[in-house]
Formats: sequence, C-alpha cells, structure tokens
Amino acid sequence: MRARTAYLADFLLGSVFYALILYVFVQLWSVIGRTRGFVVEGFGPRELVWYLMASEAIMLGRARFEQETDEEVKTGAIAYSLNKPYHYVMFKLASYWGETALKMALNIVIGSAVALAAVGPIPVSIPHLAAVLLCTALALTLNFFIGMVLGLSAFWVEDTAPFFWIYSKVLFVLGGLFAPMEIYPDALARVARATPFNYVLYAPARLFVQFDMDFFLSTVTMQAVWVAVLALLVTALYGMGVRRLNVNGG
Amino acid sequence: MRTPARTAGFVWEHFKFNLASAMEYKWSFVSQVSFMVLNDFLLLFFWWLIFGKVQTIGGWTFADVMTMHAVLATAYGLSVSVFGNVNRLARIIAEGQLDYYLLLPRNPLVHVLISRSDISGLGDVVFGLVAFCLFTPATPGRIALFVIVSLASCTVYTCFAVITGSIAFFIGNAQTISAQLVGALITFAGYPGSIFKGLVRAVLYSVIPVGFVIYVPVSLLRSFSLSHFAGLLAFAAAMVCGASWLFAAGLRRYESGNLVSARI
Repeated sequence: MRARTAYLADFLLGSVFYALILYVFVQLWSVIGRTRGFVVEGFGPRELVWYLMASEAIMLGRARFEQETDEEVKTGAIAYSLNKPYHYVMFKLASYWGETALKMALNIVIGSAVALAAVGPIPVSIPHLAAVLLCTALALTLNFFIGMVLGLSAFWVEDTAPFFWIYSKVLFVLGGLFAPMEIYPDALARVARATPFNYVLYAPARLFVQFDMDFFLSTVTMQAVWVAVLALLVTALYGMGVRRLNVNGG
Repeated sequence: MRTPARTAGFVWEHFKFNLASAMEYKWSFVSQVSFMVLNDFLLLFFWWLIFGKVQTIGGWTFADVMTMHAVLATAYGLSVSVFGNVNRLARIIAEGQLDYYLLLPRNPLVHVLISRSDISGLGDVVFGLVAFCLFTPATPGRIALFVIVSLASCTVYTCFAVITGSIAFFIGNAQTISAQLVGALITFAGYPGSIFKGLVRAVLYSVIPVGFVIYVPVSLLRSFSLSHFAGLLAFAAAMVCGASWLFAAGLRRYESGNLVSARI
C-alpha cells in the first residue's frame, strides 16, 4: 500500500478516468431511459447508473499485476523469488490486494459522489453493504486467480498481453460490465451465468443495486468454488512452469 | 526534411522496418493483430444489446454507431502503428531520451514518433475497415471518403497526443495528465456525440477535439457537406501546425537527461 501511495497525485489522477466513464454513462442512460420501448426488469436509469458505479469500481479497482508477471516470467526474474521465504503466487496476491484495496476505496468514494450527484441515492442498509463487501472481496480474489492463470501462460507463449485484452472483453460481455444480465437475451444470459466471469462483476454489482439473500448465498458459494478450482490450477501451472524454467536455465 | 514527399518516404521506410522487426516474433505479431480484431469486435456487443431494445440513441442509428467505432479504430490504429511513440512522448521528454533524435539530421518530432510501432494498431485498422463494410452501407465512394476522414481523424488524434505529451517540456512529469487527456478523448469518442450537451459539448469541439476526431467524420459519412469536409481538413492542418509549434517551443526548454540507455 505504501508503494502505491508514494506518488499520491498520480494515484488520485488515475481515478479521473473512472469519474469520466460514470459521467458518460449517466448521459447515455438518461438519453436511453427516455426512449420509448426501453424497459429492463427491475432497472430504471437510476439503478443502471448505480449498477455501473459498482461494476466499474471493481473493473478499474483491480490492480494490474499481469504485465509484471509476464515480464518476470519472460525475463527469468521470477527465478529470484524461488529462494525467498515466501510463495511467489501468495506474494503476488498480497501485493495485488495492497493496491486493489486502496483503488477500490477511492473508487467507491468517487463513484458514490458522482452517482449521488447525478441520479440520487438508492436504498441500502448496513448488513446489505457488508454482504456486498464480502461478495466483492471474493470477486476480486477470483479475478486475481484468473489473471494469474493467464499471466503464468508466459512460461509457454511469447506474449500474454492479448490474453488480457480478451479477458477484459470477456468481462465486458460475460461479466456484465456496462449492463446487467437482465438486458441480455435469455440464451446469452444463461451462458454468462454459467461462467465464472459473471461472479467478478455482475453478481456483486447486482447485489448492491437489488439485494436478495438467496442470490447472495448462491453467489458466495459459487465464488468460493471457482476460487478454489482456479487456485489449484494456478498451483499446478506454477509448478510446471518453474520446472520448465529450471530446464531452460532462466 | 525539405519536402513532404521526403518526410513521407522516411516515415514509410521506418514503418516497414518496424513491421519487419515485429514479424520476427511470429506468435506475438499474429496474436497481437488477430486478438485486437477480436477485441474490437467484442466492443460492439454493448451496442448490439442496446440497439436490440431501441431504434436510435439521441438520433444516432446502429449504422452511425458502427461508423463511429470504425473511424475511431482506424484512426487510432494508424496513429499507434505508424507513430508508435505518440502516447509515450511525455515520458521520453521527462526522461531526457530526446538526445538521440536531436543529434540526427531529421525532424526530431517525426523521428521520435516513428521510432516505434504498436503492431496491435494494425488489428484496429483491419477491424475498422471490416466493420465499416459489414455494418454500414458501403459503396466505393463511401469507402474512399471513410479512408480520407479516417486519415484526417488520425492526424487530429496524433497532434492532440503530441500537444499533451509536449506539456512535459513545461511541467516535467506530465505522463499522467497526458494519458488522462488522451484517455478522455478516446472515452468520449466511443459514444454518440448527441448525448453530450452544453459546456461539455463545447469542450469536445475545442479543448479535447473529439468532435473533429469522430463526430464530424461520422456526420460526413452520414450526409456529405463540403463545408464540413473543408472544416475538418483545415482543423487537421491547424493541429499539425499547433503541435509542431508547441514541440519546437518546448524543445528550446529541453534539458538533456543523464539516463544511460541503449538503442538496439
């Protein structure tokens, strides 16, 4: 956290983009909301803005560790962590959370201010917010393990950057970044709900706007399952990659 | 450079060299280009969803929005693939890395911009052309106009990025402010212009020239107007003059760095 706040002005300016996106969508949803025929079950323009506030807060609040991992694997710098008294993946997770926690806190403050000023409040309660916070923490951890699977693929391919472009677009499409799945055609919504990506953005954002205990319980259960599965996959990939690194000499 | 033709030749030779260099790493080259095409097509998903529910957004049809994305991708892709250092100018200036270019008998601004290529930009260009032909009523005349307005749009975008990068000559570390201004331009350029009103709209035609990067090209492709076309070309020419002048003015304040770097 200290490393990330060393250049405070730079860090704060990074949130300007988030405020900008929210502003653009406030304009967009207010125009579309006035259009005849635009009806989304349970979501008016106000709910759509708050949904985006939550989903974008997570999307832009995620620490971007992938480029670093890609470089460390490709240059062989990862070898320096092998003799350290920590596990590389756990070290990355701690570092990821240090930055993510700060960015999320800032995004929540800025996003809430913009959404409040633009469309007014939505009804929330403290227990409801605590549940959303838990769901968001699991969502961000899930995102870390998906990113780590992609980052560790640098052991086998020259460049992992394209995987991350596609991942960000998959979050956009199957994660429900800009719009809740209630807008999606039924078949596509069913596909999206079967993937882990909807648990990164859609589930926490929907819970924030429309809290529902059954949905909360099923979401955190599935998030925990996906985190466990991906953590095992990351452990396996890391083990195989490190063996490959030894063979090539780093 | 004495003539525009010689400058164009210099730019072309550099681009060919950068392209050949990128193609040495085949997986990286193919994946960057093809994944960027896929990446851009996935961006259209949101509009497909929205236009499944409404006919127009503030007067913009699905074809207009597709034209907007096609022009933006083509202009941006051309800019970063030919002038690959365009979004790194603030950093290059702040770190004193201009020294190398100042020692050579070429225009240092052109030379620094073309010294690098972002090959993924070629994917944007492919996407732009394909999306324009697929989703809008494309005729030979409209395709020719699309290419011309995209070149003008690319010029405005590149000059705007040079202007924001040149702020580094005056305030030192300008990487964040430069990235934010360019990011703002790209963000606004991805949504129909009609949703922005009042002061914001005025800003989008002046301080952050999104209007000339996207909205005017889209309006020309929707219904051609000679005066708007001339206005776009005049604005692009003015941006070239403005960016060159600001860079030259900044260069007089430039202080060499002591960072040791190797150009391989």
